[in-house]
Amino acid sequence: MLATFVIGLREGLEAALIVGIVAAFLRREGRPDTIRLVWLGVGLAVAICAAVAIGLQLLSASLPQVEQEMLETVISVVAVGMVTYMIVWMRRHARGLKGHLEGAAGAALVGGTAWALVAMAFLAVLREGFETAVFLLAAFQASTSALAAGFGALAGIALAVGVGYGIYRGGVRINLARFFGLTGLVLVFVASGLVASGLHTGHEAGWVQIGQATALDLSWLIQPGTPLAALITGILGLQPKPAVIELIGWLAYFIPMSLFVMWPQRRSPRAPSPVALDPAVDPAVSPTSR
Amino acid sequence: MPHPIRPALLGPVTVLAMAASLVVAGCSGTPATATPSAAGSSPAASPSAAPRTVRITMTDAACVPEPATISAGPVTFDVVNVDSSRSTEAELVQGDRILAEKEHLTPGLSGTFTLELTPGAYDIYCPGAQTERTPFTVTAGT
Repeated sequence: MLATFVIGLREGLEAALIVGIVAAFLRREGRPDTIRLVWLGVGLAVAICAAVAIGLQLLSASLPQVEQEMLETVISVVAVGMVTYMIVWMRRHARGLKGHLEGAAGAALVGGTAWALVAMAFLAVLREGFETAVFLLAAFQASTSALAAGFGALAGIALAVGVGYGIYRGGVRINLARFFGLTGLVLVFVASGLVASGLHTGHEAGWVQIGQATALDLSWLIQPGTPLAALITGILGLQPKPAVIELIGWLAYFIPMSLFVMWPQRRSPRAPSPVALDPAVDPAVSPTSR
Repeated sequence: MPHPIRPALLGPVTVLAMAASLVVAGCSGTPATATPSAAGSSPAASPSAAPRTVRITMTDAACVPEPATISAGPVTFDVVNVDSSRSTEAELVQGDRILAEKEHLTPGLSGTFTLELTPGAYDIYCPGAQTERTPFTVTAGT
């Protein structure tokens, strides 16, 4: 039961974090109309995954493992690009955030970008969904205590969905400046995790063969198969024993991007933000024209 | 020029195409995975045609292949997780390369994978188990 709970939580978190942030982001950016599309996209992804899992079951076929890992890897790469774009967008907007323009920010979020974010929520669920749906069906047919196994997995997924919803609600409540600051950092964690897990699935897909030695062994700290391990892997994208390439990828994304996010946020309300650190303010993306 | 949308929309299209191929691959994979289980119990009969079966038993301690040595040719691995919560994944690896794997095997679950093996030294790798790697050998001839 615990084992299936852990897997449900881990796989669910990987999707729920992104969906929660995307939904909060769209809401904050004055596009509440798109929220419904996010839920629709998520529902569609869930339906597709469930249909595939049931279809495979009826044909007594198994999910093609390598293709599944390839799919996860491709979606990871796409998602890293989109999350990075969100981070950059928010940083640019944070400097224009002095006091006003809660609404003005939304004007800059052009239709295409909103759609891209909706697509991302869809893909985030699709990425984890196939495997999880197949797993869920299997758990309910386990040879020992099938019901406990199945409901354990469901409980894990439910908790993950709850966390994602919590992020959405929380993200909607806190004030916009803090939302940008906090979300920026959370997004850096999410994207770093996507880089690491993309390298992991890339290895399982047969695409990444270098740097597979164990970089560090955290299994004394994070017992494999525990809820804590599920949280670490689900949120940070790091295995209890990350391979060298995964750790390098994680750090190579995390260090520069977290600096990028933290730097301009460090300004007190009185002092004006550091002048002209980045003179290139794209007028197409900037919320203010003054 | 709302630049981000271009690559962003390409992504979903690619991915949907991959998802479709994944489903197709899953269906076409049916006969391949269905046959071995029927012929699996008579190993010596025709070594080149019918896959032989290796059973991998997963516990917290290790994942153990039985038999641990087999001759080259098609082989079906029956992976059974007896009671391990630490490790829920079994991989057939050669060096650092994953040749085949089964993921998400919680206690009581089992799964199979079939592949053509060439002679050499392999490992059964179960991340999280106390002993993660157990040697597995494929010999030449029958």
